[in-house]
Amino acid sequence: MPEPLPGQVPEPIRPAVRREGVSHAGTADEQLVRALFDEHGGPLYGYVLRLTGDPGRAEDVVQETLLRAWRHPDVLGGRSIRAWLFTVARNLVFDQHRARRARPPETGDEALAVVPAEDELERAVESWAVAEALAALRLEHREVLTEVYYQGKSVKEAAEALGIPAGTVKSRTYYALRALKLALEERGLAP
Amino acid sequence: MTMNCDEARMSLGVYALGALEPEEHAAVRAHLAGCGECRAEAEELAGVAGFLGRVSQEDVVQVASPPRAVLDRLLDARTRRRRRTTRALLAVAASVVLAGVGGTVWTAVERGAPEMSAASAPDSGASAPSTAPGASRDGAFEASRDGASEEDAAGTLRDDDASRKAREVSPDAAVQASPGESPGPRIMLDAPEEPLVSTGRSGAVRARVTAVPGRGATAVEVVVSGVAEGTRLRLDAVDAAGNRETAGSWTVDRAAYEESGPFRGSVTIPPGGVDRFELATVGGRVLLVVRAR
Repeated sequence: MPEPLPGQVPEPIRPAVRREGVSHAGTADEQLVRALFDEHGGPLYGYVLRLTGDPGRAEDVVQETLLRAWRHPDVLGGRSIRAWLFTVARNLVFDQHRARRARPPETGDEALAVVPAEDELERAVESWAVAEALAALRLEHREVLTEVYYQGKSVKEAAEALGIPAGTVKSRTYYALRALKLALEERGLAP
Repeated sequence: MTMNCDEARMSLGVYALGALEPEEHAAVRAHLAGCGECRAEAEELAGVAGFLGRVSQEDVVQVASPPRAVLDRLLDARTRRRRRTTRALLAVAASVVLAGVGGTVWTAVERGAPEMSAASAPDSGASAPSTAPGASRDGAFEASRDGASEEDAAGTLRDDDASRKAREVSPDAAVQASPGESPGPRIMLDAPEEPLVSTGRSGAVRARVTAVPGRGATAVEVVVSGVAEGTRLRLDAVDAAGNRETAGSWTVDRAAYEESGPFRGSVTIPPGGVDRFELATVGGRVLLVVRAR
């Protein structure tokens, strides 16, 4: 069992089941699986995809990881469940990698060039919490940050791209950052 | 140009991202120099902006839309764990032509004909290895004898390279990696039948189209993102001669940044005969053309 990491990012404060009501005779087990997926599936998938570079394998690893969490209810109560999941997933990826290396000629190893060291894990958990915070923003907020920050557009260019006045780009960017601050704080990431 | 606090505040967001025009940037700086309150706000926003560099746009998209197929397979595995059977049974199960139930369960039938899709897809990297009708991905995960997980196998949309690589992973690897005991379901990645998967992107609009040869029809699935919730979509398949068939039409049921679907339909054009899929609004505006691979 991997050790919980020190300085762990607290769990996001969100309703456990976000997308779908489970009124349709969902068993407690089913609800748990759904909650696990809704809570952690996104960041976990992103993390694993980054490790493997392979969507199919990432899906499999996420699936196996969540399944193990489901079978280990003892880890679910802890605050470091996210780190636990990341650790399990990383081990799965790493062991698959080793298994592939043990059978040399079949594949290239390019996908697994990066297996992070322990201290990187914590940073990964945190970075994916940032991505999660961004994903939790309202679409209009995310859009404006995308245009101005990630696409590097000027206010004028962003205004044209989004079909809104330049003044709105400015105010929206302001409110987007304020909203992001809250979303980060909810995840224990204080700017 | 002098700024009052209200004006400066509204510019502080873009200022924090370093994207103001030089003149306005200077004006904000001038205001901050003389206004402690706005300066504090600017510092706070700069701290927030500092987090943006830690993730990419793609990261955010992935976080927002983890593959629903994983959840489906998890639920499937969970509900069925008591019905574990041998892999030999799987081969039998997979070769049985499975009937859909009430139109909701769409099955990947004709699993024994991978050569067909491979051979008929001209310049695809999608050369499905000629596998025996084998265990489906889910079947291997948890043995199944009904249609639900067959649907799953076909509904698992991914590019062929990914799947090919996935199959090369040792099934035992997952076991070694267990952080604790783990009898029970494990990843087995052998020999799933490959549906023909095509992906396309135009601006924010993305689509993955999966085509699987079936009896008398090609079953088509599409997963879209980047299309506003509530939009009514239509998917057409077009062959090389320009003949067009509509696979179906659906209403986007999730926010644009999430994946919607899979939406299902069918056409009579065989998978290899499809030149492209056109994703359009029901009104006829083409959003995206997905080249068949």
